[in-house]
Amino acid sequence: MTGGNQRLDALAATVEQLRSDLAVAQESTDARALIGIATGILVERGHGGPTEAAQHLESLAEAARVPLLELAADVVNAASGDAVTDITPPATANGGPHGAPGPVLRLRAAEAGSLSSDAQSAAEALLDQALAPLGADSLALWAAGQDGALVLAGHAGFPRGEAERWRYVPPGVGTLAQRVLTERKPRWYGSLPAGALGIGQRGGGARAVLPAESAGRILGVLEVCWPHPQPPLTPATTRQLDALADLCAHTLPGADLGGHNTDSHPDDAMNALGDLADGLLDPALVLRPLIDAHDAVSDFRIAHTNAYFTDLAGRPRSAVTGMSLLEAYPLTAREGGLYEHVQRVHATGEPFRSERMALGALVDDVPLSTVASVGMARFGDSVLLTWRVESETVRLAELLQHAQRLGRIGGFEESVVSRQVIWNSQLFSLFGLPPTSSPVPLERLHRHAHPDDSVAIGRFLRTLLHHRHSASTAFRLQRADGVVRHIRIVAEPVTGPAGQLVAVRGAYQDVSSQHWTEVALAATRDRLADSEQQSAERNRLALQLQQAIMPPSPPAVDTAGLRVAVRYRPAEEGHLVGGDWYDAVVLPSNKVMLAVGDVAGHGIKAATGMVVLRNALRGLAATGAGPAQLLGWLNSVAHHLTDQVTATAICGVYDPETRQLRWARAGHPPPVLVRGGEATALPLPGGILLGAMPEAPYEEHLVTLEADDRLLMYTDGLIERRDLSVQQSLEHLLSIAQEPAPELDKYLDRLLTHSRSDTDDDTCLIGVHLR
Amino acid sequence: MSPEPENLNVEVTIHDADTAVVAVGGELDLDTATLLHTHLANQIHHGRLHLVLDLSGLEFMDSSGLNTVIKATRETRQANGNLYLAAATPTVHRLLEITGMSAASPIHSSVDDALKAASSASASAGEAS
Repeated sequence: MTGGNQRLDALAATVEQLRSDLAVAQESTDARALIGIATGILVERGHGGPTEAAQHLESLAEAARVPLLELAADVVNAASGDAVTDITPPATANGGPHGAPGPVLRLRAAEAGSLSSDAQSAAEALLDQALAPLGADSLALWAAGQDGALVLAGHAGFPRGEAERWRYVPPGVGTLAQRVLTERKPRWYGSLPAGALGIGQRGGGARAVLPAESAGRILGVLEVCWPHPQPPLTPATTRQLDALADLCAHTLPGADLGGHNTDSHPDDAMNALGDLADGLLDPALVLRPLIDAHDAVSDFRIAHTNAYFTDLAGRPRSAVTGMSLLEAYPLTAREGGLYEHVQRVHATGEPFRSERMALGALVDDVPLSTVASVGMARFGDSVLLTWRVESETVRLAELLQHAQRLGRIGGFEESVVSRQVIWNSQLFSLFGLPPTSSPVPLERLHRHAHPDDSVAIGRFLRTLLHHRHSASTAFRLQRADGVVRHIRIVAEPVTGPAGQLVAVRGAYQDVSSQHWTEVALAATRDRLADSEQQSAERNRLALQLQQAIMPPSPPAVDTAGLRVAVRYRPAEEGHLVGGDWYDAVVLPSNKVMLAVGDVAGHGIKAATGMVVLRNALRGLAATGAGPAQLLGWLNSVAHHLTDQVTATAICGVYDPETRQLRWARAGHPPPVLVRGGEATALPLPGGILLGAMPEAPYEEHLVTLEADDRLLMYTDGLIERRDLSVQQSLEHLLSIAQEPAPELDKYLDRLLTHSRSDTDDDTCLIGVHLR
Repeated sequence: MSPEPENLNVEVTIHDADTAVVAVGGELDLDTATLLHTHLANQIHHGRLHLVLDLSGLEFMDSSGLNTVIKATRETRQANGNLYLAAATPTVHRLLEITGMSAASPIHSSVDDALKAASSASASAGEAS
């Protein structure tokens, strides 16, 4: 894309350069040719040989105090009885495919002066002097209205009443003249097509219809009629007719008889248009045509911009004002682009409106496309261009795309309904994957991340999918090619009209370099703030302690048909480390001990309490005692800890032979049993939380697991909410726990994601599945 | 993490020389538990060994709040007094039940009930001494 636009840009510049070079060359060639002809005429009239004639011409010019070129034109003019017919030789003499429109037009301008400036007299004179010799019997000269309407400005040779009937042709009638006005190309009908609309059609015969142009603008149409069908026109006649049509343009309203200098317009008109632009509420530009040596419009100058004008490429208004349109917006030169329409409006006077038009701008060689509604109209020989950027969101989306590439950002969108995942190409390269591979859904993102980051990813997904808030997190991407990148992911939920989650969209950004900068900064900050460092270190120690004991992604226990998976979600970053723990261990007796616990409080005290209780329970369990006894002992341990921690816990011992789970609890919320698609909280055996009393009795319950049963033990971080009672939170947990799920790990992930707790507490979750 | 005492209202009413009613309203959590403990410890310090904790205005309690209650219970009991829980809202009641606290320290349905229990305990303690 970029390459293409650069090429276009460069091409435009090159063409411009060539055009001006050619203009200079052409001008001098034309001038030499004209002087040559004038000299020839003088030779013919007996003013000596070519040299003498040339000298004579020069002295005449000096005596008349007119430029040599002008005098030469006068001589040629004066010599030609039929001015127009005689003008063609220089064009032929120049031999170029386009002839020499420069001097021809100049002469015509002079000629037009000799003709009456009134279109009607011009029409009559033209028919008599120029067209009758070609066999034509009538002509119509139309002036183009602003809206594509045609007004009969002059006519000759038509029967009485015919001209009267065609005095005005409203827009869109579709006469031959109107077609030519729209197409901006002359048309030749050797014999008039059946059903053609327009003046003098009853006569049949042949017809030439030509746009009447002046300084690149079509001011009207010349329609020349022959009474009988005609053979194809010779090139010379074609040129002559073209020239005639342009000559006629000088007699039409809006013609600039002052010549080809477009700047000769009174400043008043410009100022008036500027004032008009300033009064508009949308960005508005006043464009003035830049006329090249061939009287063709080569470009437009941005003569004025109003206060609402904002550059598509973000340049200041003052920088854009005064630039040429193609220079400022080279991409508008695309086929069907803005430039083409401006040119057309300028030429035909037909206003243009588009609800959706792509406007391109280059920002540091990066194409930036904006969709806008565009309107333009011709005033005098200026074009007023206004646009309204379609909507800010569209523009921002484009900007985002732009930013994505520059910021090494990969975008994605994932439908919750269809599970379809869409990645942009940038994202594939970010992941080191070929663009043909399938995108990684968020659900499986943790498989591509460093194991220690799966907790952060889990929390991110929970905020996003469950709470339906925008979320972001950073993780270490482990690419298939072994490269590790630091990635930040930002995503937002897309909700439907009823507020339901429809999709998720967001972006991954490679922040690897940024990451190390941040690490370095953080290290420096730590050194500077000693006390802060100490507290951070304490917290880090607690975290390390906790992680040393409970790795965030622990290996699952799989024994005797019992599959155990656990999840641990630490408290939010920046919060103190909590004291949640879990344990799942196969005892020497081949029984499986399962435990979750929650030490009250946060920070290092809670973490050490957790370590003590967890290890104590492990050690005590080796004795083979039942869970109630174990909790009784653990209570004593907790009570006699110097810091007097309190904790809640559940302890269960599962016997694979009998499939019986004996369990007891110390002030802990009840386990949830999912059986046959129904989730129930197990009835609570009595048991006070650990550490509250020096000695406490604990009741023991027995549950026999059946095939495909699922049992959940959790800490209250999973359910705790301030606005709901424990009972209500528990009911919510039951409702999500009984939704079917194929696989235990995924099931636990879903529970963590969709749990409704609103505290930042850490959370432990043990899931047991009996196959 | 600055404490936000406005989340917890504590009102202390002196009932008699060794009894005070401490009414709590709002949320008793990590941020506010210390505030409650300060009030309770202050009463114990001034010799009021029987403390009635009026829980009727308490909407939320977490483990830190529970710990404060346990700590104060332990402290009053060490001084031969007690902490009486009264008029718990269903949410708090359920929490006290799940944690087994209600088994160790019964929840009285009203402040008056709790005061009666306190005065009879106080009287029997007086007889015993």
